[in-house]
Parts: sequence; C-alpha cells; structure tokens
Amino acid sequence: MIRVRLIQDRLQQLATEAGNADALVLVFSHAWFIRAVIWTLMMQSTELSAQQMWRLHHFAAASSVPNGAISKVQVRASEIWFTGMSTAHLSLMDDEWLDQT
Amino acid sequence: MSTVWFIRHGESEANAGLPTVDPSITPITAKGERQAQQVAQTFTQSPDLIVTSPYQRTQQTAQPTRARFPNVPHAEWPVQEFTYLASARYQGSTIEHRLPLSDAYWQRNDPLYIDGAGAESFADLLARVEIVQTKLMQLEAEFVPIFSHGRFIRAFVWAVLTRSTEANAKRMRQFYSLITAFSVPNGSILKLCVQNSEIWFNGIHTEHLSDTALGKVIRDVDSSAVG
Repeated sequence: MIRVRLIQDRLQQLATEAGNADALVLVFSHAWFIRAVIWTLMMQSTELSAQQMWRLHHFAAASSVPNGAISKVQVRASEIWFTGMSTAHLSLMDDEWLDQT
Repeated sequence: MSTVWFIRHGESEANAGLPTVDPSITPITAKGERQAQQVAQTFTQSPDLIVTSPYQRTQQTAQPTRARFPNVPHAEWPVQEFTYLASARYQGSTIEHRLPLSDAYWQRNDPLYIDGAGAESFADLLARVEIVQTKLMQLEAEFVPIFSHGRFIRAFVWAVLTRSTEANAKRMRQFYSLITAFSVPNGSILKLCVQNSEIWFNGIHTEHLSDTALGKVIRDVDSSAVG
C-alpha cells in the first residue's frame, strides 16, 4: 500500500509538472500491483487494515489482468480517473491465456 | 463528455435489519432520509436528468434532489437491485432470515437459475448492465445522477473493469468475490464519465456523508451478498 500511495503521488506530481500540456507516461507493471492501484482508486483509500487486505484479495479473485492488458489513467484537476482493462490490441487470446497473471 | 454519478440509496429498512414485504417497496429509514438530504446538498451544479430505479428506496432517496432541482426531468431505468430470491422469500423476513437462502443461491452458482416469481437470474442482471451501458453511451445529457443499488452498482463496475457482460459459472463466482471486494455504503457516490465511448471511473465517494451531530463520517459498510 505504501508503494501504491507512492505511485498515486507520482501521477499527481507528473500532472502538476506537465501543467496544461498533455503528457503521456507508459508504466509497465504487474497484475497484482495494477489491481492494487485500481482497487485503491475505486475505494478512494489506501488505509491499511485486515479488512482492506481481505477485500483486495477478493478483488484479485474477481478481476483478471491479462498479459499485455492496458488500463488507462488520467489526472484531471488533481483527480485520478481510470478505465477498465483493455485487451483490444491483443490477438490470439483464449480463456486460459487470459487468466494467466 | 457526460458525467454520471451512481448513487446508492439511503439506508433501507432491510439494511437496518427490519422485516420486509417485497424488495421493490422497501422504504428508507430516517437515517436514509438524512443521507438523501446530504446527497441533495452535495450537487454544485444542476443535473440535466435524474434517473432512479423502479424500486421505492431509490425514488425516496432521489426526492430531496428532485425537490432541489424541480425543473430537471426524471427517468426510470432498469438499475434496480439484483433480486435473486423469489418475492415470496421476502414476506416478513429479515436479511438474517434470508442468509441461508442467499448462501444456497451462491453455492448453486448457476447463472441461468431463477428462484421463482419476482426473481431474476445472474444472466438477467448482466443483461440489464449491458442495457445501462448502452444508454450511457447514447447519453446527450452532460450530468446525470443515477439512484441505484449496491449490487447493481458493483455489477456495473465489474462489467466495465473486465469489459464483459458474459454470464457463465466462472464469472458468477468472480462476481461473488467482487461483492466482498467493494464497499458501496448507503448514500455513497460512484463518479464516472463517458468520453469517446469509454467509461472512466473516479472511485466511490463518501465525504458528503457526515453525521454532523457526531462529527464523524458515516461508513455504512455493505459487503453482504444477502438478497
């Protein structure tokens, strides 16, 4: 959760530095980390507790992050917005492959 | 670009542990009415359309917002709660009474199973989610609050995040996990926008839900899968 907070702060910082200019940043990461970022943004909380840990575990069970999938993130007026997992750019997908993280 | 707020209804009598008659006519409590007032006061601009589900508790929760913006049109969309138990199961029962029935439903894990009159299947739920996604893509209004329900909001989020409304046994198990993964408190607001045919989320907000008498934020956690 400390690393998740750090990346959210960095995104805010990047947006501040970019000002009105559009800056595109590519972050190549990992399934569990991406899930943790999305889940904390959805919950608007990086609070540490056993209950939060339990919830994140269930979120991981509910959502697959296919290899090569993209989740887009935007910072607008200090608010972070995000999309679902996009795999439209990937071909030759099957269920088994999609589940690999 | 359209901005959409999915707002969960205020605390209902069922949420408070009281017996129900039918899920479609379960009213909100006095606490739910306070939450509805807090929701109405959080708007800093007028909506262009106010949407509710056909269920009484969303219509009651939307009432203070509709009173504040009397010229804004109202529409009913199929954003009602996922009601997977038959209406007869609700007659005089509480959430606690229905817990074994709920557990049995999720253990069955059959996306096409319908429990009886007044119930819908998991596949029906995802079909409604798809209808609502299509409606959002066709929205011409700029700002639309949608008064809805905990499990429906979670199903919508999950379908968008996974980019799928496919209903099968594996996805039904995944959705059961998702119910535990997210808390959608009564009166909370899920903010999203639709831009270039893509849905963007900004998370579930509760900062407008302050109990001024106690000076603390209300965090009514509803992680239950009980119908």
